[in-house]
Amino acid sequence: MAAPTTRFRKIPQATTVEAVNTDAERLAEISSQSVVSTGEGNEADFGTVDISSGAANSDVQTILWDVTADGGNTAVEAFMLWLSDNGFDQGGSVVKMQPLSGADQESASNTENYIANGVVGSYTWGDMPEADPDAQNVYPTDEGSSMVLSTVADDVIMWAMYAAIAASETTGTYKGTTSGYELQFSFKYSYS
Amino acid sequence: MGDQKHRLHGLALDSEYRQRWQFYHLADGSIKDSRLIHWRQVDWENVVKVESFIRGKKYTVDCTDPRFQFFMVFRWFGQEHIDGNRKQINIWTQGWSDGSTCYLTNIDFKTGQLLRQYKDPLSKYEAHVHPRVKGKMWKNRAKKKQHFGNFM
Repeated sequence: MAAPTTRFRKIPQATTVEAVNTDAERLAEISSQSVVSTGEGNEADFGTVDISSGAANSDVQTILWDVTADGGNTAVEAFMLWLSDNGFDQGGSVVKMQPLSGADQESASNTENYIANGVVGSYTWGDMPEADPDAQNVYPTDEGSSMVLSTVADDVIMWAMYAAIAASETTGTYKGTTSGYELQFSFKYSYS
Repeated sequence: MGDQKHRLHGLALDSEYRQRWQFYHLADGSIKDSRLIHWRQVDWENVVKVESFIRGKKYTVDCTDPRFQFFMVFRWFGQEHIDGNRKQINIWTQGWSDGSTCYLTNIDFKTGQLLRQYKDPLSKYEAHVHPRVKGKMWKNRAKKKQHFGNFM
């Protein structure tokens, strides 16, 4: 019994609602998706945020997490995402997040339905925790606490996020473990 | 065929389990070994003690608490960053539940170091409840351990 094999994917903001409104579609390859790395390489990139005229926001990005090989396990549960390290000097610089579901979740409460071409005004945002939240804060589309594994998971975890940067933030490239400019996320889940 | 057999039984046979396994002690005195049987195939309602062995360290959880209903075993995986360093989250959790709250111990899967003892709502781990005990509640379950007979 090994740990499940998992992946993070970033999908284009132009992805249609119909492309992610069933679990099968969310699990399948989504047009122009990119698998983002958890180490140095093709990280999820917020792009450049221009604060020359004051506080500003990055583009919104949509990320999916799923299990691609169950490792002999039957369930994953208790999904937690947090911003574990950042070099921001200003308290107003934060990463905002919103857990997402597909349109097949018709009465979303812990999530909001994915919106094509989503921008900052598209969702209701909360600050991404900056420490282990110790409670589930991202969800499969049914908003359950777990996903069944049968080779792969029966759905994905999906969320949107963007960086809100304060006006007087120190400029530079925030990335990975770069001293003073760290930008790192953590993710954990339980399995059996 | 080997991979298929491994998958069907879900046994802990990867090389990482050479120094990591669990014993499930049953009320009739027998012991089930996680390297020989998947924990979901054990008669979980009859388990009276769980022992986890990791790199020479042993952790035991028993059912002597009068609130005891059933044992919990599962793992955590992920990645976190502490002080600028990336750290893999790889934890073996064992404990017990009274049917609404879990009393859990986190053990570092790599080193066997005790990481944390805590309690959490069972609702957080419903998917990890053994199917043979899910939704069941027993009266005075801990006391019946003294008889070492049928634990039902």
